[in-house]
Amino acid sequence: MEHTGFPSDETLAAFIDGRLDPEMRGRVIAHMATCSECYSVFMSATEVTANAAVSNGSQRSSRRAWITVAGAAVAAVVAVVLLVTPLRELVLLHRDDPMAALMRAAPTQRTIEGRIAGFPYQPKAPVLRGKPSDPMSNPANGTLLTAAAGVQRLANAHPSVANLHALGVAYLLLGRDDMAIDTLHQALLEGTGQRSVTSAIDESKDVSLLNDLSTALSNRARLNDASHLLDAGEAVRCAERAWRASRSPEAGWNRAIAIEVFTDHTARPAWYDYLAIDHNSPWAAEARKRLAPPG
Amino acid sequence: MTPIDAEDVFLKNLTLIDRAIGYVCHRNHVHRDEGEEFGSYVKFKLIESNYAVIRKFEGRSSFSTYMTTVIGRMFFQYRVQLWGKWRPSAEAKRLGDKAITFERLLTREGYSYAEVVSILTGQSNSVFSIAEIEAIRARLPIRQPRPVLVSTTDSTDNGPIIETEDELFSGERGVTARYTVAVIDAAMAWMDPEDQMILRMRFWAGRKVPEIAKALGLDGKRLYKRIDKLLSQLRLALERAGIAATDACELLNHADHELSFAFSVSEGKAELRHSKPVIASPRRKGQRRQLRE
Repeated sequence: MEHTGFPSDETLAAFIDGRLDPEMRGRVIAHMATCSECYSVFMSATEVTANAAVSNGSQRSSRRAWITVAGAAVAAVVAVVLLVTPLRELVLLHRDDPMAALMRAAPTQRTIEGRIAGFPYQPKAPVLRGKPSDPMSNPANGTLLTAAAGVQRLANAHPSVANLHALGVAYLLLGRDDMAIDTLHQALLEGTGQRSVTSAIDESKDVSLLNDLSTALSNRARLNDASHLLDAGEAVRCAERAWRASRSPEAGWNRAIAIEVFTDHTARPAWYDYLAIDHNSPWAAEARKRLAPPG
Repeated sequence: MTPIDAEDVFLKNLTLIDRAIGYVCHRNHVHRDEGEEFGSYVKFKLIESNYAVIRKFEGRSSFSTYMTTVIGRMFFQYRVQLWGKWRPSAEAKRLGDKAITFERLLTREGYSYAEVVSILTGQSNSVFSIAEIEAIRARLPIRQPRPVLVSTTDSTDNGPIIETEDELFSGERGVTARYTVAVIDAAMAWMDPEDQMILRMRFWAGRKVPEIAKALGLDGKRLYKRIDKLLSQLRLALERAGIAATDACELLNHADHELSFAFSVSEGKAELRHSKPVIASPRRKGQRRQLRE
């Protein structure tokens, strides 16, 4: 049964943090003497704090010892790993690939028109009563949220281009276009060393990042009248850049979508360009439907 | 906090939320797949009603503690659907989540007492201590584990292996142990709530005195004296209940029946003491004890 009444979650949390006045503190303690649930939550929370302290302490001390004893040996090992290509590849294979984790956790139907780089085909989720479904309110997306949390953790610890890119895709999958675009912009600027997004797009050679940014921008442009023109224009810029650089099916698809959003008409030439390089995938079937006259 | 702000807070704290979920699952020995389900449950509870839980946060505590508290309480609601028809005993509920975990492993999942001890204390980052499990065991009602169907081909000439779990808490010694525990609990029930908390944390959960002082915001040095005073009260209660200090000492210091209260024998007189090593008698040599602090 749900715990109701005194103390509220926050009052109990304030007690754990030692932030209550003496009177309220006394009331919480008196309650905990008879409420095993609050007592357990209190004990658990204090264990979390204690474990974190122990873990940090032991990490620090073991790190110190480790550096003292084995610094030179590690330098040698790192040099070998980085210089000998097969070994480097072996090491990289064992690292967590955040994009692969997102791919595994992605919903079975996509809620965006564009294609995310490297993701397999997923049919579009049906749109009910003109309102697109929110991935965050879909109970089937619990795994995606967990994967997104992992990617976020990784990106916070190591804000590399690849990790920021993955975090942007995570936000995109969760339907958070603003956060996705901000993060993908960050990745783009980080990767090119440019100061403005426009020049970063022109300089970037990262086709998959350009693809995904284009997808996010097209999506926001489609849903948001206020930023429609700016986003749609930038989406076309990204997609054209990716298309020129790779001529990949993903770039071709996203280019067609971006042009459609920008012009508000079927981008027939762009879809023909797409079908020229992809004849028989499920994506191609969807592209043919788009070209078919309505009705 | 507006729904948009709350969503931003939620997304930015997904890592923290996942860590709290992981800890609750670890503490309650929830299987990995069940843990993932609980993770989804938590996230959708947090998202529900436009992030109502997050919007309720007023900043009276740190956000991380608030989330830990919320998720800890959510587990209490969730466990009902997690464990199906199985229900913990009233006594296990009274003792808290650790007692429920212990009882679940013993009666729902059918492990023997020795196996449960091994499961709960076997990992390096275990949150259970042996003394704590023994203290819980002595307080729980005796329930039969769920019957398990076994193949007749599995039986051997020696007959089935009978688990000796209740040998530890059966017979005259077991009765005395349970009676002693009941007296201790009854005596504690009359104490000031904060004193009860201190004793529970010290002797049920095996927390060190500085940890208790920090958690409850008390002065560490005074706390040592306070605990000794509380133990004196418990000794009086035991004597009034007809449990001689020597008997209690004999009983409680025995490895099988350690109730997490340290008794020491000094100058030929049994005494209930705190944080003092027990003088090893020849009989107890080699027996493990965790009273050294």
